[in-house]
Amino acid sequence: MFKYIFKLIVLTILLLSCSDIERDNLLDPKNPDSYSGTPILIEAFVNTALEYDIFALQALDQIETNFGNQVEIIEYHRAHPADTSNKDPYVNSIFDELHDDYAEFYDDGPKAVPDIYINGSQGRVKGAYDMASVYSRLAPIITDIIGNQCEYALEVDLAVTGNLLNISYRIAHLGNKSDENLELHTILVKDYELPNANRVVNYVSYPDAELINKIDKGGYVKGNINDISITNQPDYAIFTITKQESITVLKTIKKEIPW
Amino acid sequence: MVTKILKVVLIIFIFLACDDLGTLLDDNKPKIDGGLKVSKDKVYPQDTINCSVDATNPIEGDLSYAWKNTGGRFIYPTNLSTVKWIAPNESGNYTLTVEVTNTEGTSDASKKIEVLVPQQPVINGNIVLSATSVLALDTVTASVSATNPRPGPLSYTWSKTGGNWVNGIFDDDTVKWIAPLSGGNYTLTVVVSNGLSSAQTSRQVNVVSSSAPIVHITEPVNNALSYLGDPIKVKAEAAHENGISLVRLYAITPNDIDSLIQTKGTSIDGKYTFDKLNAYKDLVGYSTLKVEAEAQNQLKTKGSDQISIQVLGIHVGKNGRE
Repeated sequence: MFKYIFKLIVLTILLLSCSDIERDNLLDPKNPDSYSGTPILIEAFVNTALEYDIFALQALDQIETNFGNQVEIIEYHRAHPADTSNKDPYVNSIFDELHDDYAEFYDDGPKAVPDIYINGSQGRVKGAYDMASVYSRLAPIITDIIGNQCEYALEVDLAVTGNLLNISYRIAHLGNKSDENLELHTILVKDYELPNANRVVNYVSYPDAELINKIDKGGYVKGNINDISITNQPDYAIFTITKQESITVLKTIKKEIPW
Repeated sequence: MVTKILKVVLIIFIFLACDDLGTLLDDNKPKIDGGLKVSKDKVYPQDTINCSVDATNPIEGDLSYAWKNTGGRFIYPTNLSTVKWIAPNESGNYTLTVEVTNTEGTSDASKKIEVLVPQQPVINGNIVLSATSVLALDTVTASVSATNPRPGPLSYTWSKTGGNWVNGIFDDDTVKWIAPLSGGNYTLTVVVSNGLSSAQTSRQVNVVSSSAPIVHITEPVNNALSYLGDPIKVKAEAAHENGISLVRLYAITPNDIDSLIQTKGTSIDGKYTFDKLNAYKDLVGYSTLKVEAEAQNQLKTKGSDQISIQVLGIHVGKNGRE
């Protein structure tokens, strides 16, 4: 009996003191000071049949070398009338519309390639005449925003069944804040291990991104994206969070596809 | 009865002769013979003329003279029968009056004088220069020929907007002028005067500067970015002491190939805007824009400014859309 009462007292003390446990985990959404990091997403619209675009890809190689996993670089290979012989085999017409959205946001002259966006709205580098002409404009933008705190946590699990990819995700807004109207984008990338084809996007969930209507304060949202048909055996997936109707990338993660 | 009639006739006669009686009484005032006499009745401003009056006194005693005018002035003493009058500066009609007085009364006479608009000296042609375009420190002889429509000497007053006179400046129809070090247009002016009126004339001397025009490209800024196909507006300012005759815009490719893009003529404010440059394919890379100005002198000295631009190669689809 005494032993039972003692256990009850200890349990009561523990229960009562639960609220006093300090929430100092940086990835705890309930922690008002929580935050995460994120690599910078660099999206390049290119056509490798065109001369200036090669300079852009060379500059991106250099960026990758110098900034490592602090950046994620992907290439959207665009169709272009100047590529009359369709020498770029990786073009996808869906990228044209995506490029439209990006170019319209900047409203900076005609849409053209090469055209590189940093976290969507955080910088744009268009045109090239040599590798340095691109690198010298890209690097300062990256340096300026590198290491910025991110307010989101994103966890993703991937499963492949045949040619179908299934995704389960969990999204939280850190800092004990609520959020709404977010979009989760899925991008599948393949390294063809050929010159100018090392980060080729072969799928993007555009325009049908996963909509996250609401995240409660201190909570998280989990969901599934099922049966994405995959071709050409992409090597990894990039997931990004944006606000609805916005091109600003708030969070980026990379996940290897478990073939 | 006859006596009575005679008295009436006498009264009528006296009554009728009253005017003549007055005249008889006036006859004792000074008599002026020939009115007021002047040496000239048409004069120029500041001219001096002689004025006189011939008057006699029908009674014993002296005559006194008082001269009056509606303009100008008499030279003292003015209580004489002959005086001098100086015409005023303003042209117009003036009246001179003399009053001659004795103990019985005053008689007067007047004369209208016309003061004419003064005639300017006539400059024959323009200043004659030994050279109209010279180098710095060259000497130029300048002379002027003028005639005076009225008697009297002419005086010459020279002025300049720069440079120096040789041995100072004198009242002479010919001077020597030394061109200054700075180029540009300088004006020599002479005022020829006859004391009453003056005429002036000017002539420019171009001093040729051997210095190069100063050129400054104001737009775009150095290292500005442009995209292939973009219009590039180039603005420049150019100045030279002798003026700018023309300004040229060149585009120089990264391979050092020059192309003349546009030529502009003289600009009043020294500002030039070129609008015919579209970033063409050969300019892709680090290219140069050069603006060259040519001076408006026989040396045609040239000055230039240049900036770098980065032209970024892009591929744009039809109608600016891919």
